[in-house]
Amino acid sequence: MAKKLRYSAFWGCTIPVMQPFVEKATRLVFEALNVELLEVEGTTCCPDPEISRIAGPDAWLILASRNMAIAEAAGVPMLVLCNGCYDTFMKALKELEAEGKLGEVREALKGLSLDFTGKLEVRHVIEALHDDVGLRRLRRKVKPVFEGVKVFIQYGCRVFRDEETKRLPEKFDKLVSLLGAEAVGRLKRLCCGVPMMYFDESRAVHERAKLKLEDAKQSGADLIVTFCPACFNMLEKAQLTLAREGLRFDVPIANYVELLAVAMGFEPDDFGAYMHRIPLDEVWEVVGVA
Amino acid sequence: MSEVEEGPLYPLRKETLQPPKTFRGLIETLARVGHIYELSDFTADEREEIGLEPTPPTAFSREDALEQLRTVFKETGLDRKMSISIKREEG
Repeated sequence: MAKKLRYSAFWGCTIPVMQPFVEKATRLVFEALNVELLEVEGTTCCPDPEISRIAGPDAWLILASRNMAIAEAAGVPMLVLCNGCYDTFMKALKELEAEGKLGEVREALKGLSLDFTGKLEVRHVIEALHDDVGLRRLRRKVKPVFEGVKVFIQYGCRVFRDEETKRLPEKFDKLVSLLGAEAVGRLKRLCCGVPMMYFDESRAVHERAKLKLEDAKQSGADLIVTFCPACFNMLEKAQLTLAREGLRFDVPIANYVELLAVAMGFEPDDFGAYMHRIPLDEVWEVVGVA
Repeated sequence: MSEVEEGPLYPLRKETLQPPKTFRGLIETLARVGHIYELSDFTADEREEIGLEPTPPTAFSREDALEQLRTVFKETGLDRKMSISIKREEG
């Protein structure tokens, strides 16, 4: 019998507060897949890989290591739902090793009564689903209910920056195919605009998000699917901003895990999909779960 | 640790002497609640409605976690750099 998969779940800041339906869908999906998610108590923001890392690189590295130390104590790999958190942890691990900072960080953590060996395995939810659970096992649980639905895949720029992460988009594509959906659009790799938003919100909306939304609309996408909660927020908020300027897109955004939950037989109400600011009702209607 | 130390990963790294003003809000929220977003009562209710813990067991509900974050801010000087006053909130 296959060993039961267990992870310590790191939910980040955005999902629990702004997209609780993603947290709920993830819990439902992993439970149905017989995967145990352990709570990591007492964590903080990862911290974010842009602002915090630029403003205070030392604080960023110590706090990222602090979160990883708490997860490491659980003795299982850490599951990361957010592309930004994943980026932070992968960068922090690399920095601890390549820049020889592990000793100094351990010293700082000792003052907080924590220790970190630097050997924690960090798994993006894409890796957990595609590699650990595996496509074969997923196929047995999933019905391709999204046949006839066109999706614009939003990878999120943080998943193909480094050598370690560059295969994530390809795995994301396969996970989408599993649902029966048709992937459309050209600008899948363009950044949604989040990092630019901290400097110039208007440019981020008009020179990044808008381009993606136009491409999604022109390619006939019924929805945008992503794993990244920041891209989710950006593309949703940008549509609300652009609508005030008279430019309507009305392309709903969904986290992949929500679609997976529906393909596994859950109802959208089971995880609170009604909380979306741009409703997914038309998509649910096509799928037959409205 | 030194923020200006050049290393193999970032050979051109230089210390950010004065981070942009737009960074301050996010760092301040981080110092205050331990996360970059606040958890409102409305969101806590929404979470409960779908069967989640209203408040996640993170810095949102763990004062010790918040204290540790603030200690790191102080010891690395991030509070001074961002002109943030870190003090224990009453009540």
